[in-house]
Amino acid sequence: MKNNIKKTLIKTAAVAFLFAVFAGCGEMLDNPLKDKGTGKDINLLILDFNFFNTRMTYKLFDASDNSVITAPATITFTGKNANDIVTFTGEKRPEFTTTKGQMELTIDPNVTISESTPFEFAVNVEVDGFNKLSKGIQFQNEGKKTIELYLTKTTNEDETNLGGDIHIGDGDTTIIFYAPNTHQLKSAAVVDKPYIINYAITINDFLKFKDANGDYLFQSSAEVLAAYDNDPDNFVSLSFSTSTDYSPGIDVINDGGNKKSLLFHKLETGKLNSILVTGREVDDLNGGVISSTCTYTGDVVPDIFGFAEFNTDSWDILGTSNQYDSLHFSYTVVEASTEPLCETGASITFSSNAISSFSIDAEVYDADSNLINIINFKGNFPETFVVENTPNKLVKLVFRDNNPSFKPIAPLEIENFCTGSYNVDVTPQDGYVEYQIALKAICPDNPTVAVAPTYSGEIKIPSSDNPWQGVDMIGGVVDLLGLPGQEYQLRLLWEDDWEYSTFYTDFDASGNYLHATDPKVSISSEKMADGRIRINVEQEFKQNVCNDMGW
Amino acid sequence: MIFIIVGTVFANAQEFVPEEPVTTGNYGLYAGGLASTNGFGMNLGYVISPKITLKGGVETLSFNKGFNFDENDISYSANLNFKTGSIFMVADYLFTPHLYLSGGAGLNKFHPKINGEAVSDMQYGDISIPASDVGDFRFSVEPSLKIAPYLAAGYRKFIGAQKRVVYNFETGLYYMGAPKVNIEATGLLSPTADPAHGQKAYLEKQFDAYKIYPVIKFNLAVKLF
Repeated sequence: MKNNIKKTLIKTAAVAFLFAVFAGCGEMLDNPLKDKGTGKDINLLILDFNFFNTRMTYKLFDASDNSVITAPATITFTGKNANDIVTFTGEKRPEFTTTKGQMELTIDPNVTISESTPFEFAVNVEVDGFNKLSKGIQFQNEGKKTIELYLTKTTNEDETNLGGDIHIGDGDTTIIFYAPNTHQLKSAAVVDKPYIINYAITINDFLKFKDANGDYLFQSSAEVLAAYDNDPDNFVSLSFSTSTDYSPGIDVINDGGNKKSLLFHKLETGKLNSILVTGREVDDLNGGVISSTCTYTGDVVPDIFGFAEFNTDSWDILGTSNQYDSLHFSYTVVEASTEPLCETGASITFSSNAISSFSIDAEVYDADSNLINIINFKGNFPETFVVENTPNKLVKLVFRDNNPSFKPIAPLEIENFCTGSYNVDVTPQDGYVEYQIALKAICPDNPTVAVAPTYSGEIKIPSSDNPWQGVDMIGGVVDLLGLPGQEYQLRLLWEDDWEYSTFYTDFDASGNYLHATDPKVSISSEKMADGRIRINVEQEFKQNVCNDMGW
Repeated sequence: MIFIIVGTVFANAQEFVPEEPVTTGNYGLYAGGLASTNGFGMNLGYVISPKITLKGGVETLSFNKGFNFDENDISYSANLNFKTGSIFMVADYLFTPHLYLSGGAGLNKFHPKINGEAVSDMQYGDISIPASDVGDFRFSVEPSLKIAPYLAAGYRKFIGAQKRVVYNFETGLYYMGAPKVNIEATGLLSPTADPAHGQKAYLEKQFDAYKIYPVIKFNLAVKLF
């Protein structure tokens, strides 16, 4: 009897022991790859496309008012490395389109970029209502590049009618049309141009011209001269549309096959709209030609001045005379310096007592306050940039005041842009606080994978008139300065659409996020070891970024 | 399941095993080998009374398994390094001449790791990303308790003409605490390892139920003196 009781007790104790042990293990039977809260597949891997060494942001502006062009734009690339430019999904495309006035592109990481192997290409932009823009670019190093492209509106072009004078030349009689050396703008303002462009048509060429009916305008030289004598003022009229609203910059010139980045200024572009001869419109030059010359009339003749034509990835300088054998011809007059630029120049470090990313635009002026170039510096304090394609002379960097979270930055004078190290100290604006955003874009079709990109972004208080402030995201993490108690939007341009993340800088004393989020966004926050607050944003983007990336 | 079966067997074993009281002749120091789910090793045991035996020992298990796998069109070469073991001290309480409960602690050496690196370039859109840029990863797990409590139930029997040989069969567990996950990664996986994204903390939370390490152990020892 005693033995039976003992055995029963032992069995009971053993079962109780086992029950206690295995009760604690019950959760082990749950699938750990299912989220404990939602029951959905857990996010296991967070991916980045940090294998790209060079990121490029293209921005399109209307040259007349510096506003962003939101009309559909087509961007193509030509030249040696054009085919190495890809989207962030690794796609090569014959053309890239945007309606946001901006585009994020990158470079095949297999292509090495250095001073000895510069990355050479041209960007060509076409937007309805704007003149086509082509610009040669040479990258001497890898990194983050922002290319601002200013396009001139065709509606802002000046229309110029040129009359003519007769000039008796050797062996032939030539009608020469003198352009005024002042520039009549539509606003009626008159600006001096330091050059003139003249046109000439020989009588032999007049004899080849045909009207819309296919009839020759003149049957003989005598008829031409007679028509001229009859009404010299209205004998001939050339109608041009011209643009002069171009800023100087750095472009690539083809010097006998040697393509060099030089200080470059497109002075004027124009196209012939019509030719009227004795009131009849010329429809076909029919083998005749129109000659043109340009002459610099300013005090200091540039090293390079004349007509130029963009060819694949650089400008061919055509000289100061040119001939056109088609009716609606276009021309470009440029000036440039032959002074070679340094492939890489001064080293500039941006530092701050704040932990923040930054995107700072600097306009580079020479000693005479002529704009030379515009450079963007994007990174995280402190970060050092080695400027490329720099002129070997004194320059002044004037920093644009377009970062609401930073106080205006004093201009930086650099004795020689080719050498030296400089520091730019950036001071946070009063009232701004350091935050960190950690952004994860969940793949809707495969929640085990998320994307935390190394990418360029912009941030703004949506209700404010502030400009969008550029930020540099690394692996989905952005350090930034923000005002407490504000709604903020962070946006990334993916393909041709902005992906927005909205969050508030409202937290309790422990750093916990105080706002509700919508079902496709999960936002939480925590206090970091250094006292900052980190805001974790997990969301599904509108676009299927993961599909685009093949994940 | 195996633990439930083994436990049930233990609970009923007394009915099938004849009572053989431990005598003073069984007292003494025993040394031998062991094989367990926590490794192979050696143990020392000291039978100090019919109901109490003190045991100590070391057990270790480590193996490497290389394998290749493809993930999102990337070929990885990976290596699983499973390492576990302990240096333990336990006391057995024999509530019958053969059945006992065992309690103690072990210096836990549980530390499995998996390393991998991309071995093929990744086709990405129209371009190919070099394997070196795709990067590598290292995941490892270790117990949050270095000194892990140990509980087990077992069966012990002296054998041989002079009962100088003893074998034990026991099943139990180490309580390791919630596992700590370590993640290191470069290249495209590097955000997975970035503390800013809290992936380590998230995975630790998902796997925090795995606090125990199950043990099935067989000991064989001979009496030294």
